[in-house]
Amino acid sequence: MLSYFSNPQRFDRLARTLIPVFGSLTVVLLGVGGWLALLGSPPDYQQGETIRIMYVHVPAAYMAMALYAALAVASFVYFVWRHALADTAAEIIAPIGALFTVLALFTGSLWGKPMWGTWWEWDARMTSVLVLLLVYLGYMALRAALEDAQQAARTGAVLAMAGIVNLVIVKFSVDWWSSLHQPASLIRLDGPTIHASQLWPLVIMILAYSFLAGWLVLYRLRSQALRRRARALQRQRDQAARQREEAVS
Amino acid sequence: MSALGAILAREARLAWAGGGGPAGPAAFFLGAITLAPLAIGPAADLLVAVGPGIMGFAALLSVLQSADRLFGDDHVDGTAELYLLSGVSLPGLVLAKVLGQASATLWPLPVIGLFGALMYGVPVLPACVGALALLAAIPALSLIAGFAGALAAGVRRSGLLIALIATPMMVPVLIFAAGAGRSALAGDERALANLLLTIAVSLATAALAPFGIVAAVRSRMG
Amino acid sequence: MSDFLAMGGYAAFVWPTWGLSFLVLVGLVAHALVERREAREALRRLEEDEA
Repeated sequence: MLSYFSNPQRFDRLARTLIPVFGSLTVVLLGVGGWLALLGSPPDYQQGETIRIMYVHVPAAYMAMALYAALAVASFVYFVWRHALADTAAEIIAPIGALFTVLALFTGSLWGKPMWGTWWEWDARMTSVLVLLLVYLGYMALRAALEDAQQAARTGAVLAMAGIVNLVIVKFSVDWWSSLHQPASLIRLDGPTIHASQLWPLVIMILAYSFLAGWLVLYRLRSQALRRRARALQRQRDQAARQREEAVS
Repeated sequence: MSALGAILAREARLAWAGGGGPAGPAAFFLGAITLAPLAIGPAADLLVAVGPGIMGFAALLSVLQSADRLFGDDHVDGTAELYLLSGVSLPGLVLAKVLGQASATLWPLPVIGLFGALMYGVPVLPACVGALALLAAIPALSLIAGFAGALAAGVRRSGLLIALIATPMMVPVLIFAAGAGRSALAGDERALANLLLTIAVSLATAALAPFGIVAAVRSRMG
Repeated sequence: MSDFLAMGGYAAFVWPTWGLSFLVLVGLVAHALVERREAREALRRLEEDEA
């Protein structure tokens, strides 16, 4: 199936049908989720109204991590099968993921101040997210530093794959390092410890963010295809002009 | 096997010959641990508490100093292509290169780390544990630095890029190596666990990083 | 309504987080739309010059 959609025309057709679907789902889910989060759910027993920050912080943090996973998968696909589309997808995903990481850090800080009294807490979660930001920045910096597009693609893929292996170990080591971490309250073997009235807005917001990211990636992939056509045309134009000059001289 | 041994020896010789071998990382390490108290303040109990951490942190930065030389030089002068043609096991070759350079240039770090910790007021036994952890961390640190250097080979002013790439990858080994010293200082039961984890990370890195470095060198070819 | 805006006294924390998030989401979408428009215009200009 991967090779089937690596064909640019087939992928373009798929993208054209998915983009409006993702777009409308995003709008609906954001509307419903936002309403539920701000108006349709009660304040938390312990945290009061600050719980409403959770409904934008957790989705941002989730997207930060999910997008890096997507980046690693796209890089793997490119590394093994050399589908150019996979590399373009990886290139597009990185800054979006980095932006969500920064958003997660800022919203986390604003959530932490009323909760713990400090703007920053060196706990396992926030520290891991900070390291994730560095990973994103390193990937983007490496691609930007290499002028040859093919080298940038291949090297980026290697780094992204190494990065996902590293992040697993980082998560473990940072948990080990920190003794004040909050145990993950969303997914636990004995069922979520979060209340239903809070779970629904959260899940809907996470879905909304996910469909938004999907929309962004697909939409921008199609734009990249247009830019590539423009670049190819420009190159043809320049080459023809050079040939004419050489013929004259 | 002797080919890899030859490469190891060559790397060690080159490291000694060009750039003063162990002088580079050692000098940086010494500079860093000298400057830190000037920034932190001379309060004795504070320095004791941060001693093991500063040693680990400064050692990590010292290893990054020579990261661009290992594969950067080979990329620029074309030696990298010769490696790919040589028929020697590439991951083995890469491992030999990195460990060759590391053994020649990084051996002072545990020694300086030991004396540095003592200067910060850390008692002898925890200082020794810390130094041992630094020694155990060297394979991981040098291989990660090598990986970052291979990715950024030949890039102008690659120092910052290499640091940005290497930093997240060095987080686990730093946590465990500095943790060993800190646990030994605090007398809690985690010291041995941290030390073993440091060794584990170094072994895992030795097993995986060579393949990553080979992929990185290949991806930068023509 | 004023209770809603006050957010139990935590307004200074809650509203900036939602505002920031809204800005980021809108910014991402706007950037994607602008990028598409510029790509389409660049391509059209090149194709027109051809003709």
